[in-house]
Amino acid sequence: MSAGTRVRLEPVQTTAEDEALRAEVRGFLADWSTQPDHRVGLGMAAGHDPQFSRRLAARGWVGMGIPVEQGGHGLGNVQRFVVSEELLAAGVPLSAHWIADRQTAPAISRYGTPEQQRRFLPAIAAGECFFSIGMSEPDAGSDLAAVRTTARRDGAGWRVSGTKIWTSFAHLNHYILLLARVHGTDRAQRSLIQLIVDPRAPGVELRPIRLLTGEHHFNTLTLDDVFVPDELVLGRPGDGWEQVTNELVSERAGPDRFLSVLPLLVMFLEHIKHSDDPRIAEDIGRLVARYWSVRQLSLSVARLIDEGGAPSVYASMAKDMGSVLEQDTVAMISRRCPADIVNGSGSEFLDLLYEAVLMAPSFTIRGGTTEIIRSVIQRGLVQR
Amino acid sequence: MTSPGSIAAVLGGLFSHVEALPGSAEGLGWDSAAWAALAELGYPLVSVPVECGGSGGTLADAVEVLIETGRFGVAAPVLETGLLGGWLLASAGLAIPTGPLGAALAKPTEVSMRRSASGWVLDGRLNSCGWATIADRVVVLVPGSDATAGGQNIVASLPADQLTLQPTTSLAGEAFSTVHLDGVVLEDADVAPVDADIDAESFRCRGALGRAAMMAGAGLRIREMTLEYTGVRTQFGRPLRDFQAVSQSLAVLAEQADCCVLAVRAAVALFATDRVRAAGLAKITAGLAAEQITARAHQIHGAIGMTMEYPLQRFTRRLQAWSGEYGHESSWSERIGHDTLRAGPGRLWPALSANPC
Repeated sequence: MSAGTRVRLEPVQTTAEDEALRAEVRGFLADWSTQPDHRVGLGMAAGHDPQFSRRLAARGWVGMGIPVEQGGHGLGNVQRFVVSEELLAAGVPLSAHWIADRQTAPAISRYGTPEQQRRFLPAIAAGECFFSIGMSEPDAGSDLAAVRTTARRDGAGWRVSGTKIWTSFAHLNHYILLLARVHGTDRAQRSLIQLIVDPRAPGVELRPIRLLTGEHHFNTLTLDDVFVPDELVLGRPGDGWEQVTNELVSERAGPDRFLSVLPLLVMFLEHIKHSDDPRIAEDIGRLVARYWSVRQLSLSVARLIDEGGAPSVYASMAKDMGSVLEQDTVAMISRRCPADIVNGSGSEFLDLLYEAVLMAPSFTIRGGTTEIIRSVIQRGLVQR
Repeated sequence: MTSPGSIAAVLGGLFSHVEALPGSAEGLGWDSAAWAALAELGYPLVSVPVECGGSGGTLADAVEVLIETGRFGVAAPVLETGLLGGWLLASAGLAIPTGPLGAALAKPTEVSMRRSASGWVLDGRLNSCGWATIADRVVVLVPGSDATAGGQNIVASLPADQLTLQPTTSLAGEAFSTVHLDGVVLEDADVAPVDADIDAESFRCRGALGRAAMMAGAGLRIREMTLEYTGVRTQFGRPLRDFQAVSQSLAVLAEQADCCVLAVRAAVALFATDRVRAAGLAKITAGLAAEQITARAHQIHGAIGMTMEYPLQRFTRRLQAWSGEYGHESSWSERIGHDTLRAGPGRLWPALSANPC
């Protein structure tokens, strides 16, 4: 049989239970959107609001995939997808718990010790424990295997030194799941280790990197001989590469890869609702079809993960198509927007469009650049 | 009918024999061997009820058959015979012949129908009608007017030997024609009114969904061929797929092909509740995928892909031909866009996330 057709993608029909969950989330969001201080944002970077994350957690919508015996809700990936897509489509501030919920909790659930699971998972599910990603370095961006931060054995732990960069919200989150190289090993992939690091530990220095919008999400993190006890090593030293690879499947396939600007598209429809320009209708229809088909792909991947698969090729396809769609959406709205795109005019739509235009280039960079994602796809096609 | 997976398996086996016949369809625009193999097993009439002379099965089954016919580049009127012609005849309670059918929608401005002493008389023409040159009959849906039976939509089953044909060729090299109806007289047994929901729109929707399925199949085939080619073709001492520029293009081609098949299957589930949206979403997805797949597959194959002998063109030409049939991606986009605007901003997300969606 031909390559790439071994696992068949099937459309997903959600269950009545899934839809009841969706209705519950919509009820919550309808209430949120009437609150005077609510602010609609863009996807996973919509806003870091610990209090809001705790409210979601109180409803059972954080740590949904963590098994019940580990302090979570033991729900499937499809159910997490349903809740996530509703939150993203509304543009709620979910940045605080997003990384912990999306990828750190599954990693700890899978590779963590019972003690780590007891310590972190219930706290993540309660919206009380937030993580940042500690992968990128100044000389290891797309080439993750080139990380140079080292972990050197020292008594009952490790001494970690090096520099991490683009560490979103490290100044606000509790921990960083950090990828390092075991001291004395070379570039080979079997030499990586993941450690849970407290950004306020002695020897850690955080410096903000302003985004081009002026906002502070990114940080540079310098680690100078930071002691990390053995109980904060995730998985086995040397298995870091395999662990990170699995983490990336959760990172890439989700609805956060295609819904970042959906609230903006809804506002645009409101803005031009009296237009009878057939070009706008055509542009919108085309985008609707692309949102619909990419959602089918992303949801199918969620179902495959529930069935025990690690569909990295399909996950990467969803990420590629979704992030390009986000950019094309912003481009279309900019092209057809009858007003000047300025910030501070008092229009919620224009303020959000302003932010989206400036941030759009990041959509195909974060979570793996388009070029890397397409290489992953091609390698996967060839290997099968 | 059997499960979708088994339809693919059976047809895969069937076509692998038929395809081995050298150049069976090229030049003639019609693959009689493939048709015979398909018809013997009843595949063209899948989804047409057994009691009406069809093979039974669901719309989903028919779509799986069409995906496979697209995947094997079968030059035969499978869509026209079952999903369109068979559907129209069954809906009208008319006899379904055993041979291949053409199917057409008569434009009110181009076809007129009147009652005479000897029966129904049709005048006018059908543009770009597929398969009339080889079909036993061409089944025509004539939208209701004052001239038809009380304004009802009419199905007319036209014997091919009574038609004047001006042969043309589709972009795929398939047998098309302009059909001239110069006072064609039909017996009462070949004409019947149908319910109001058997109309121009439902005809176009079924055609669009069916073509999208065939495009998805052709896309899968091109994906397979291109993946294979980039593994065996060597330049500068390494296979083409090891060049980053090629591998990037290959990834896009593959994701477009895979997503298109999934979208077509998802559209089937939606078709029962909202056929316009389902057909439109499927045809837009297939049309956008076809642009990417055709351009990238040819670019990757280079000159060999431009030859008659090399099989790539059988599939890329079909993608280009089918993109325009039953509504181009562009016109469906405008339609879906208008519907979206009319429904209002608050309906965008609920519609995208509806189940079935």
